[in-house]
Amino acid sequence: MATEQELLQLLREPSTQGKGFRILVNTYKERVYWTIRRMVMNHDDADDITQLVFIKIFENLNSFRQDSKLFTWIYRIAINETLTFLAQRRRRNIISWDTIEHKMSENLIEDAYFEGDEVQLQLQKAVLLLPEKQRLVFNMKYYEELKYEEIEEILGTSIGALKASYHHAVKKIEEFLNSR
Amino acid sequence: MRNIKEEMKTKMETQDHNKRISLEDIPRKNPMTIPVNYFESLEDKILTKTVSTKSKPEQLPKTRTLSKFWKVSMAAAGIIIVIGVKIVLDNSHSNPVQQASIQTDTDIMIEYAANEAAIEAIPNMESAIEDEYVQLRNIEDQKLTPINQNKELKTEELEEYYDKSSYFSIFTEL
Repeated sequence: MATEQELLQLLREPSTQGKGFRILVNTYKERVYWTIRRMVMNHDDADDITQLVFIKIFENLNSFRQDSKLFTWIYRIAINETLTFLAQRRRRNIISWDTIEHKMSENLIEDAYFEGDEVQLQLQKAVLLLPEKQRLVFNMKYYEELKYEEIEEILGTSIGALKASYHHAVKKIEEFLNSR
Repeated sequence: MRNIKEEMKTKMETQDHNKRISLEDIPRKNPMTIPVNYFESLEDKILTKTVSTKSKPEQLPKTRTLSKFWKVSMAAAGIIIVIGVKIVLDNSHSNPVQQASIQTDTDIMIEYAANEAAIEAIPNMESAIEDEYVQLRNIEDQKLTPINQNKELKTEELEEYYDKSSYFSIFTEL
């Protein structure tokens, strides 16, 4: 497996860019997919957005200035595309934020690609009630187990604010679970 | 002894029931699944749309595309032209059947009016013919016989004259 520096070297050279990109896709496809999937819940939507993210990465390889880690850059593109997708869906349907999240929550029950038990279903419903950015922070910390420093680099939010956001998210989820 | 055991059991159950659910109590697992071999197919799809496209030797020439503003403007202009043409056509030929009906009605009315006028004119024409005939007879009578003012006109003679008269032939066609 190539290191990030080796991968960047491959991506920089036009003759090896294709090979480098294959390695990039192979290395990050699962992490990117799951980040998106946890936000949009639905597999088909996550599939579309993941493809779009990698196409954008490919098209903008030359604009990557190495100010940040490669994965941080990829992660930012994935989050931006996901938030854009959710905003577009909200605008297209002309429905409120709550309604779209409620719809996603209801769809989970019939989703062929959801195999959680009742507790897991309730947990997902609770997560969907969180505000978009809080949900993002919760997923990154709880499911992806990223360090606060990494989340700070990706979202550009201070560690203090991230800790507070995560703490509030956990509190809201527990309140939801205990109210059932 | 048995009562104490039951009491303890009930107490423990009550404690469990009152215990608040913590996020730490829930196993940290991913309840979402994916189709079989999904990530393999995902990689292929991405590479088809990126690397494979770029490595194609021949690329189609870029066609000149209009900006979004011009596309919208042209579409709006097209709609206005279509509506304008439709309004003009509606005004000039609102309904072919209706137009034909109106035309037919007008023709009938004109024809009817002409017939009415012609019918009203017949007696005058007849008297004019009769007068003309009398004058001619008088001229002839003056030449041949003395003038008899009270002499009645013979019906056969009049009919014969009518037949020859151009006025009458016109109105018989009506």
